[in-house]
Order: sequence, then structure tokens, then C-alpha cells
Amino acid sequence: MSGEQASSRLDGNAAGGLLREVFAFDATAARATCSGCAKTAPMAELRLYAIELGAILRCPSCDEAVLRIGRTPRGLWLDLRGAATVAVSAGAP
Amino acid sequence: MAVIEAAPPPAGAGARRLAWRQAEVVERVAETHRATTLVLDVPGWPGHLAGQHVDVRLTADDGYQAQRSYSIASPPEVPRLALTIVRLERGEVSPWLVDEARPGDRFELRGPIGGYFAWSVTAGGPLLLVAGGSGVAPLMAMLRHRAASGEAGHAVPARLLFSSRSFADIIYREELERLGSAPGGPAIVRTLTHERPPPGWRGHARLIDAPMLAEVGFPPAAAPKVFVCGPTPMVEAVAEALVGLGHEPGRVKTERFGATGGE
Repeated sequence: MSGEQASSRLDGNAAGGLLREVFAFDATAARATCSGCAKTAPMAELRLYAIELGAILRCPSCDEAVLRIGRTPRGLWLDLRGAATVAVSAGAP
Repeated sequence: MAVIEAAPPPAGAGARRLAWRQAEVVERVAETHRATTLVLDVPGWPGHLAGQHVDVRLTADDGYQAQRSYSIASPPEVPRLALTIVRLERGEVSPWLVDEARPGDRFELRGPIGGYFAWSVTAGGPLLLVAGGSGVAPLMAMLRHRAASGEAGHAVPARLLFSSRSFADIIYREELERLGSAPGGPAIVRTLTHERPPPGWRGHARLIDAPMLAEVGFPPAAAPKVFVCGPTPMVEAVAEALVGLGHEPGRVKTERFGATGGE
């Protein structure tokens, strides 16, 4: 993987480092259910936008912003309004 | 779910946080005219799984920082990390890594990252790997890990379908030929997409499509673990074709990189 353009079409794999700043476990394998269309997908399979100022992970089916992370001078800002649920398997590293 | 705002934890808190580490270049390997492997010494590296990646952060003299993700191409068995990087024109990070970085140079990285697109021999198989261009890097880590695992590795049937623009663009060409012809080695099938193959070419000469995947891939009934990595259009076409052939979507793991990237 070698994402060089902020606007390029990447996926949640590339947000794994940023997710690790928010969650205490690897979240790429956690399964998020979209609050828009109810599709469930691993975070790694969500579409990634705008990595520079944070990340927006969008549903591959309906484009809903499932998860948004913003980097601010005061810290990180996490918006999960697009996720109905997030399921983390017991063995998450 | 709600919005959560988190201040950075105090220094020293949260030992599980991903730390930025200093990486030192110890070797450069020219893979193709556009791709270079950097072999890195990373003191304190905690180890990784094949398929995981690192974030690389470069800091300019004026403090400007640019950060990118690169897959680890080396297997867990090797203490030094190998990153294979394709130079992207107008890129902020790859031109320095590919053209400028020399043994002794240092930069920051953090990892390993990503437990989703990862495989180890203990997870079993069969293993179907589909690569486009530099998307072969994390899949190469899996094949190197398999080869380093002796009998346990050989017991996992493995196939790699690898798409490159031209013969000269085939990353790891000689090592893949060696792996493929070794006893117990994986089946390696190659296709060239943008240039006529050289005389004597044994492989395909078109974009990866459903008939090629049906021929090379394991039957869906064998329930292979599938990893697809490459440029976004290639990954989506391959994943769609595999599901169309009857592979369960949950067993087809994908990793995309930008359309300006490798293939």
C-alpha cells in the first residue's frame, strides 16, 4: 500500500495507525454496521477519505460516513454517528 | 453512537499506544526502474504479522511533516524490515524514499498496523493471493513467511496471481521464480497488462478477469483464504469477480492503494 494523494481512493487498512490512536486495540478487523443502510463491514473495507486532517471512513454500499476522526490542536475528535454498532472480536490484538 | 472527544493521554501513559520509532536505512535494493526496497533497522521493533503495514513520517527542515502507509514485505522471521516503495510523481514521500534515502539515513515509522489484512501459517489455507503492481509487497511477506515455516508452510497450498504492467515492472521477479520452482513452493501465475510479453513468456497477457481467477484460484468449495492487494480499480474488479465465482465475501480480504500507485 502506498497512498500518496489525500484524495486517492484508499480503504480503512490505511487508517489503521490513526485508529490505533483512538482505540486500544487494532480496529481494522472490527465490524461496523452502517447506520444508513445497515450493511456490516470490517473497518478495513470501508472507503477512506482525507487522511491528512484525520479520516472519514465511508460505507462501501451507501457512502454514509460511518466513522470520522479529526485531529485538532487539543487532541482527537471521533464521530461515530454513522455507525449503528461496532463489533470487536474477543481476540483482537 | 455519539461523538467522543479525547485529549492526548499524558506522556508515559498507555503502553499499548503505537510509538513512533527511528528507522535506519541499512540497504537499498533496486527492484525495478520505479520500485526500490529499503531494508531498515528499527530498534525496539515489536514484531509483526505478514500483511501488516507501517506508517512512515518524514519531517522537513521547516517542521513540515508528511505521512504515508507502506506494507511490510519482509516476513516476521527476519528482524530487519523491508519496505518496497514505488516512486509516484508529485509524491511527497515516495520520491525521497526511492531516490534519496541512503544507508545511514533515518526517518520515523510506527507499527505494525492492521490485523485484518494479515496472515500466518497457523491460520491455514488454502491461500490465494492476487496482486497488482506494488500490491505484491504484503503478499510477498506472506509467501516469505510460508517459505520460512518449513513443513508447516509447505502444508498450506498457496497460489499467487500477479499482474504487472510489463516484464520490466515485475517486482521480486527472480525471487518469485525461485520460490515457485522450489519443492513445496507456491504456484506463481503472472500476467502482463500494458506491454506485449517477451518471447517465450509463460503467463497471461491481459487484465485479471473472472476466467483467469477461475483457472488459477482454488474452487470456492475449497474455501481458500483470499488476499487481494493493488490499485483500487484492480482490487474492486478482482473482488467482484471472485464473489461472482462463488467465493464467500467474508473470505476475500482486500487492500487498496491510490490510483496513482503501482500497477
